[in-house]
Amino acid sequence: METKVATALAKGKVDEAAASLVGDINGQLGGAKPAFALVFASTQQPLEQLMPALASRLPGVTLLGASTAGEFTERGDAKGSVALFAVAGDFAIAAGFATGLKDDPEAAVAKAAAAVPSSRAGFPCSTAILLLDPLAGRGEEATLFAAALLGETVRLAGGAAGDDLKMAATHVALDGKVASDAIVLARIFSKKPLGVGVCHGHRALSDSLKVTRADGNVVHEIDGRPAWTVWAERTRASAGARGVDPDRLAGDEVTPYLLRYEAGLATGSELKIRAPLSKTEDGAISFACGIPQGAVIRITDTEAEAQVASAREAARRARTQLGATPAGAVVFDCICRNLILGGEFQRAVKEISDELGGARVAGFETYGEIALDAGDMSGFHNTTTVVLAFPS
Amino acid sequence: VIPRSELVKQLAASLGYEKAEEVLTSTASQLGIAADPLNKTETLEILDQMLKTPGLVGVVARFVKVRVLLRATTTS
Repeated sequence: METKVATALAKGKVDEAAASLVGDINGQLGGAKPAFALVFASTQQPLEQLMPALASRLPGVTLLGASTAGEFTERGDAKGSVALFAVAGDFAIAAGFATGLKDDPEAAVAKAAAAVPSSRAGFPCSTAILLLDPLAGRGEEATLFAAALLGETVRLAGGAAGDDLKMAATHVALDGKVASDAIVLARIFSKKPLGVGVCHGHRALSDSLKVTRADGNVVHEIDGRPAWTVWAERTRASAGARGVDPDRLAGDEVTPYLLRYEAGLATGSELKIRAPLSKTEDGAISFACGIPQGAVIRITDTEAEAQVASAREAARRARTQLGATPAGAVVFDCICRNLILGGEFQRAVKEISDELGGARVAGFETYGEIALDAGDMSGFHNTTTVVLAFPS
Repeated sequence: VIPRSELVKQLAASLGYEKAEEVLTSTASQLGIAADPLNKTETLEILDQMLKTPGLVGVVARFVKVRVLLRATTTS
């Protein structure tokens, strides 16, 4: 059966957006029923209301959802909107949902995975999708637990939900279930393998800095001093060149600032980026996943062109895994890239689509990305583009 | 057998190279293991000790242990 991918982007009230999205999707699919769909919604279209509105218009279609910090398709990007990605063809899906991620990530992943069989007759390939609440601070842990349960041969892709940079509550959804402090784990069964590509465009700005006091995902001290003090000091010159003073940031400017200057862990040939999401009143910095005390980090920076090039490289890697032109792709793209690229962001999305032969793409701006190829030892990323490409 | 450098590389994917090396060295030293490369028993003894550590270090050790066991099973 031919693979058909449909993408749509809509604004407005929940019912208006849902009607527009489904009308658009159905038109593109030409009557074919989607095997499943992914829903990426801003805080203006709460998932609690949106998921039922979409489910009633797409009966029997499994819907995976995440709240976002921005939404896009190959035709444009927006804030305060909903993006929908639907696939029809030789695919099947099984998915599980669980809460309690912060207190017990292992139990949450196990509960979600219990609803997901390891195989489906007639579908020799499977690829997993993981959506999670990053404010639980368990991104890496949940990804590793999921990868361990799925097995070494299963590719994993996904994203950490956003909330339009409010840093208040991020949600994930499976059909009628919507929650924060939660995860969705899904397995897509297919006749051919899906492709996963990941890449980032950051480089080290500072020298090595040692995390001298940390608790879970909160870094209190670096080199024996408050984390924010060190962050501001080491980024002041770079920020100053852009006309930004870290000592004069308004409350809502701190997170965008931190997302420009992310942490990099040396893991081998390149840095693994870790996203600082917010600072506390006592000068600690909260991350999207655990940072162990004793870790050595570099503060990183980037240029716009490096972000565009890394997006295209992620798409190239996904296409290479497929070995053919994809029918379409889901893109999990760090919000920091949108903050850095500004009005140029859509150019990066177009580069992804172009690299995939003009394929339809839809995605959202995340607080973390997940990509783990067979044999990889880590899968939670920050400041990257992750491309999940579907075979024709 | 597995060289220490390979085990550090696997741990470093989530912990960073320096932390991975520090935690492996200290755990091996604590257990009185000086060998390099490590045999399967020594590797598992080190990982079992590491996974008692709360937080990300313990989670990463558990993940690496699963992968080491899987690969050992596949190889044998």
